[in-house]
Amino acid sequence: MSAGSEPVRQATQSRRTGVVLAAGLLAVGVFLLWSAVTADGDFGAQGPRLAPVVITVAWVVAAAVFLAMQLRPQTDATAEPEIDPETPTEDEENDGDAPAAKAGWLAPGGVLAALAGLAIALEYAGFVVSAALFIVVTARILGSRHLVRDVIVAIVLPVVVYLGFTRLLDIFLPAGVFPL
Amino acid sequence: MNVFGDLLSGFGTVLTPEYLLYAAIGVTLGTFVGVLPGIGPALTIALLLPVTFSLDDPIGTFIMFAGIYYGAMYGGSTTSILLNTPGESASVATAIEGYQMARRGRAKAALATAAIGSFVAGTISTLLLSLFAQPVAKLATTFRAADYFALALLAMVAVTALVGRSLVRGLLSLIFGLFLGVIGIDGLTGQARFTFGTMELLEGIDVVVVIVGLFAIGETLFVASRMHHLPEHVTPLESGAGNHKSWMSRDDWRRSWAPWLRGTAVGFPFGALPSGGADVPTFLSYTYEKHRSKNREQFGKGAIEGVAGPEAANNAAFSGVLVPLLTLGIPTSATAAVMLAAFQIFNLQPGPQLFDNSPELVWALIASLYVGNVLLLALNLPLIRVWVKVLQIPRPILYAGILVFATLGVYASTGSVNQVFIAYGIGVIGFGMRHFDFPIAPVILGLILGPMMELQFRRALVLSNGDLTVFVSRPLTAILLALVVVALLVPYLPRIVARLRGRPAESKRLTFAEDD
Repeated sequence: MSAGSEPVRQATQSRRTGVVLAAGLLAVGVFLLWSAVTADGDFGAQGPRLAPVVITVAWVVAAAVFLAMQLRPQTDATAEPEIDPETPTEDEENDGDAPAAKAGWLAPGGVLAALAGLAIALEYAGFVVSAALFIVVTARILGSRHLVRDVIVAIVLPVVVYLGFTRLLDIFLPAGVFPL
Repeated sequence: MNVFGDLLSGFGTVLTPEYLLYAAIGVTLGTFVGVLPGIGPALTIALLLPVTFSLDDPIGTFIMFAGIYYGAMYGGSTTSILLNTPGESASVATAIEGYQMARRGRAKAALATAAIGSFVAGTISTLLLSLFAQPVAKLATTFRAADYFALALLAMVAVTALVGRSLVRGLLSLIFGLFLGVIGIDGLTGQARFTFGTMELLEGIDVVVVIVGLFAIGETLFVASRMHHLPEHVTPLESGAGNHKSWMSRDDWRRSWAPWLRGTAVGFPFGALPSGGADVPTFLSYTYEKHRSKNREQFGKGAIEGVAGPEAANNAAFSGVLVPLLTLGIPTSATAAVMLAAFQIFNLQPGPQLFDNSPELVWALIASLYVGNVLLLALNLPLIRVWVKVLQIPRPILYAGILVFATLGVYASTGSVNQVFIAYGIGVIGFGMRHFDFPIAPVILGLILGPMMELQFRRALVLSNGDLTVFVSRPLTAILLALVVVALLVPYLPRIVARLRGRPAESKRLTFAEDD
């Protein structure tokens, strides 16, 4: 357990997160409901506009109930499972792949940035080059410390996949700068 | 008699070298991907969908899919037992006892009872599927639009209410799925809904994009956020001396056979009912074995009954899920929803007409289930060392690879980078859902069943000239809608009963599992 001395503060924090989350869901629901109601068209039972209104009304109602549950003191049987705060524990076995840094929000953010790079590079640099770079970078973000191994995988895997998909399965993949 | 003739011709189709090869490729691929930690059958099929785009033979493809699904289930139990990371909620029960057995040096016995139990359950339940499919399909021809509406509603509500810990969270997930389902052009009138003026959203959001986003990308981001929590240690197959020779002792067999049969008996009907596939029956089986067993004190420390029962239930439930999927076109689990998407790629609409229009496909698919079971038994235990090697792929490489395949899958199926970004966006939402403990399965069911439900609702109203009583005037429709209410109440039964008896409600609502 991290900072076991302050469980109260942690509980308050996770509850506040829950309230913010529920309020956010409610806000999105209200916006979608507004855009469903203001669309023009047939709102009759057979028309195309009813379902969006029904769904967004349900969204708003469910989000409101969720918000109410987050605001209520959590003591009775319906208590929501507490949102698990990050509680890093020691790794049982450290074989060089376990991340040195605390994971938290940094790693997913990094992976997401790498993904965006992959999608943008895909059509310009081609599948093989962008996938190779992506694998090296992402493995690094996810805590790999074996650069040579990563590079070998990053070259072999995309080439095999590219050849397999384009030659065997006739599925188009962008070739880009890769001369094949 | 008729059934056996059809089944025989199905075997005739499958037992050709070409289709046997498809089946073998399917079970191998399925096991390989299913063994990878954190990947369940739904994602396995979604990731492997692009492979089938260039195949123009639906029969071969579905034989392969059946193999992939079975393989993913077998592979998942291997991961649960050796690594204690169930890839789907249906393997959670297996992981409880199986991992404990492995830690006590009984990994081989656990793997064997899981594999043989799956084989027994798979064979029996496929037999039941063969017997029940056609009669149900016959019955289904009498269903009208209003009945389909009620059925789809029942399937959706049952999964949301029974699976997961909180009804409100489940409902929010379901509503999100329904919302994704209405995005795009309305099929009946051509009006755009929730497209916010963009061209990309006009076609709607593809099921593959959502599944890859939620399961592959969301899951990987979640893993990235908590790399510390992952078990990395693969339990060895044997512990030192003495255990080398046999998979299961005579005593293991004696303790396993009854749970296998009981698991099958629970799994098939629950799979066939709209109750969320394998999650509920695996937990029921586990609970039952735990209370019934003479070796109750061993539960929690590696009781073989706790592996045998749930694994059999898991496998039997799959054949059960195929009953509503093939005969009514209604998926009752996330995996079935992906299978439905696969059918639609080939312009095949599962439902009562499928048995009339493509009997060859249906019976070949059912026959391939028998074949797949045999292949898996032959593939799984002897090759266990290979699968253990797969388990040892370093995590960073593994997840980087999964993301490449996820991106590839979306790009290959849509041909558009914008769709890839939509999948990433849904992945971020999936990450948030995992982080804040929202179930994923209702999203998929909402997405698939929502549009189906809306279509049948409007069709029913068109046929009845806008008369809303069409939903209560037929007994069948009314009963189905009543069951929807029952499904919503079931989780609260213990508390309601307690209230009625005048005791304070101390028990929580009934729950069975997380989503997969």
